[in-house]
Amino acid sequence: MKKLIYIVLGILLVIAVIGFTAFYRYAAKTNAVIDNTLQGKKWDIPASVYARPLELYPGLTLTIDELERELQFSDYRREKPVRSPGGYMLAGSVINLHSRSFTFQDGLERGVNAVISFADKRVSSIKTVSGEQLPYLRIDPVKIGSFHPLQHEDRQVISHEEIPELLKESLVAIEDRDFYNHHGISLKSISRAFFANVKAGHVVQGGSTLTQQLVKNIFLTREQTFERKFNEALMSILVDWNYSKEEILTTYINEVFLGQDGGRAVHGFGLASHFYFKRNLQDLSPAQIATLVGMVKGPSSYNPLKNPERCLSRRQLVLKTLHNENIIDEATLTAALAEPLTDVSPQKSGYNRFPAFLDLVKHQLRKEYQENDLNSEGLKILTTLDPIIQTRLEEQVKETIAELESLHNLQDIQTAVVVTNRNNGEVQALQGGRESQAWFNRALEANRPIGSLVKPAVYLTALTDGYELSTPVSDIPITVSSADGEWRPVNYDRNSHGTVPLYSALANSYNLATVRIGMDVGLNGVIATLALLGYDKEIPAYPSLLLGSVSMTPIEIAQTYQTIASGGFYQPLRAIRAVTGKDGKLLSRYGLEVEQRFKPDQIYLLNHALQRVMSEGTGRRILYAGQRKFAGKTGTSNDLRDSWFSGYTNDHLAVVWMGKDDNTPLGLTGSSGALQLWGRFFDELDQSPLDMAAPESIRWYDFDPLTFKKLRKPSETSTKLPFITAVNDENSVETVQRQQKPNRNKPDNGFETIEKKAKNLLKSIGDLFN
Amino acid sequence: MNTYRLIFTAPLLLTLMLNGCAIIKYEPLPPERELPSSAQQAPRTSQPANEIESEPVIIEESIKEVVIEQPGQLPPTYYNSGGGAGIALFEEGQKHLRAGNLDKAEMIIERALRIEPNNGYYWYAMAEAKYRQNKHSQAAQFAYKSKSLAKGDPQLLKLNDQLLQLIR
Repeated sequence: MKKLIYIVLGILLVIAVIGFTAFYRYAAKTNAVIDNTLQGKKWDIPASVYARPLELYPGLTLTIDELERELQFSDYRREKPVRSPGGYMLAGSVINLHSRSFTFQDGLERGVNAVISFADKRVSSIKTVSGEQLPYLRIDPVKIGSFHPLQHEDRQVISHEEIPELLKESLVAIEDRDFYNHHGISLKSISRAFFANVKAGHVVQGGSTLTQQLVKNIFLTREQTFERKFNEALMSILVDWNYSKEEILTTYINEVFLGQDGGRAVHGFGLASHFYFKRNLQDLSPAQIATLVGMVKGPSSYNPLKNPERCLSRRQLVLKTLHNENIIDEATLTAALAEPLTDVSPQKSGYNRFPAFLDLVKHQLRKEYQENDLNSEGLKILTTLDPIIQTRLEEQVKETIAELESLHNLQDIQTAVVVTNRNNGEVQALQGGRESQAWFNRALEANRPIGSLVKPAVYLTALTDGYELSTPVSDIPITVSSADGEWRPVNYDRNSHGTVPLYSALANSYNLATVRIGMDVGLNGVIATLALLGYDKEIPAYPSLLLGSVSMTPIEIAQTYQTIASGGFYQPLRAIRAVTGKDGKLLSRYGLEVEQRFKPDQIYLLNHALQRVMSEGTGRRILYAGQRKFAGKTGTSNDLRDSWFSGYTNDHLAVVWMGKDDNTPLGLTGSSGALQLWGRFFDELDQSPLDMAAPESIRWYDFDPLTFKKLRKPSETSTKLPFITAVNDENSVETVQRQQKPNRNKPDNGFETIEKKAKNLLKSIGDLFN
Repeated sequence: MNTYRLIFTAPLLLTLMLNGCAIIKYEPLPPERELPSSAQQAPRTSQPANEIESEPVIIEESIKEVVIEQPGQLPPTYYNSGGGAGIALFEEGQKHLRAGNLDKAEMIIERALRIEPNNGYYWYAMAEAKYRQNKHSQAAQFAYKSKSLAKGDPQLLKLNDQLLQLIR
């Protein structure tokens, strides 16, 4: 018998040793997992994408309403008086604004409490609240998006020192009263919850400690199994063993889920504070802290935006509990109970509001950054988006398309628009479809025949090849023979217009004259010009190219017109200004670039002809006829399938495309479709007349388009026309009739021939948008 | 600063200050790869516009000191809009340019250019920043851009031609 007992004890001992060893090894392994994750806990912080900062200065064209909209996109609070950074107050034509500090690519810009006055839709003065005049004020930019990993978590991590004491005390009081006494799990809490639940007949109280909740959130799933419960208890004990209470509490405060903002999950009290109250955590009132603490129990059920009544009642309960626990005094309780749930309007922020532009940013970033860096390293992407322009564009697109559909009895018109800064190539707004949340980004991906938008490249080739604006060109039927057969282009109006000056052929978009010029200068010359303008894909040399059979996307068109609009200087279109690390350190900068690709005087002539498109040609249908303020070109593809317009003022350039996704005829020309949207948009955006500095070699003459002569004095039929003239040779030619062949042997003044330069260029240009 | 420059620059600056000198100075563009240190920079003073030094461009051997006049007497391309914001940023950029913070100088001058994009002097400052970074081909391109906006302003044309000369 004794022997049997020894055998059993021996077996039990062996089992115990094996069990203990297995448990020890399991616990050690679990501990390693905890250590790996929690040791210096680094959350995956998605890269944040910001719009351009609004630079205010006296004289800036801006209304007070537009400024307010920008501030609301940027999560500023309207309050009276302004209490802290991120607040503003309106008083007639004056706004008191306390900007927030922000680290830009050129360093930290501290927030300023400023008073900004407006007059005549302009900023008239900027002063600090103490009365000091400021020449400019740069406001922290609107956050327009983030690059999330799969779980779409977003958070704003805060350090232990930044956490208000009241928040810590409140969390402990509401969620885990024994937090500072237990060792990860609390038998007292479990038994208290057990009896409360039995008494109520259903679950009214949880027994989980803050440590258990943290472990559950970080390491475990939500399944209710014994194994998970066991792991939760084990891990909680290990976490409590290895980490201080302060470390656990800080991690919890940064980790906890506190609601959903569309596609992103709001994690941590830092981000929640901004999301619900548009304030830093340190600036929250006791009532606001109580609201967030109350939400921990059920972020959706107690969401102040979706369920305000339930949230308010929960907040009041939390406040009373805090008072009972002597965390807040009677006066604070009374004031907090009376406080409204929120003092900020539910105005939607600029976050994720501009998805088409974000596409462009991603496109550019993915060439230089790994997906993982964008998802986890907390980068700041400082972009060129102008939310004010973008919002105006969205409104105008909606309005104009509805009107065009109604006016022409059309349906399902689609559109895409690219707006850039004419002077530096920054993309300021992008519309991917008639809806701003379009699933298909037509501005970047709709590759459509460009029609007459190609003509400036044909005429520029001619101007670099000896033609002048006054050169007579024949707009009479032409037959082009090639290996594929004969091609007989026609004009849009089916008529021919005889001999016309070159500028008039472009202004009126005459096809026959254009084909004649194009065949004269050669298809390869036109293709080379397109390459110099910034189009970096191969183009087959078919004669139909001369009337725009080549397909391009709106952003590619914008790139080519940018070179024309900026006086012959190629500027790569940019959507990003800089990328900084989460510590504010500059990682990459995409600065201003220019490269002169055309002679200034030749580009000047082309720009003049494009201004005539607007004053007397196909662009005259918009309101500015006769004023020659803007420059641009209409385009229409075969059977009215695509309607294009690309044009610019002194400050902005925009390309508009309209068409249908199934490529059926739209029924609108460039002039009756895209130009209408462009014109209305610019009517509000920018009326600055195009001011191209004339190169020294440019001289103006009175020119008679009927006789093709320069005149000494203006006549009834004459028009002022710029000519390229040798600087000291102004008086040598009084009247000229250019009936002869253009001079092909004109010296190129040091410029390489277009073909040669384009060949070199094509080798060196990278794929900008691919 | 080498002695020669000190000897030349000191009386020049004194003269300018006594006469009410200009708002902005362009530090001489040094010969290639001999960039001046911040200690070599000339101090800047600001005086009323009606007391402007009459000789705006001074070039002497290796010293090419260019003085741009006060607002009010400046060429229109220099000071045309922005209520002083452009010029304030430009001055800030100049400070960094002189101190050798070239990247920062560029970023700030780009801000000035967003306010006054047709100001050829700002484009020239970009050219100078690129030159000082030994990015000569880019410097030349910015100088061409600056020239294209000069509208015949001899001072600006001269500045750019000097820079292009150094690059060649």
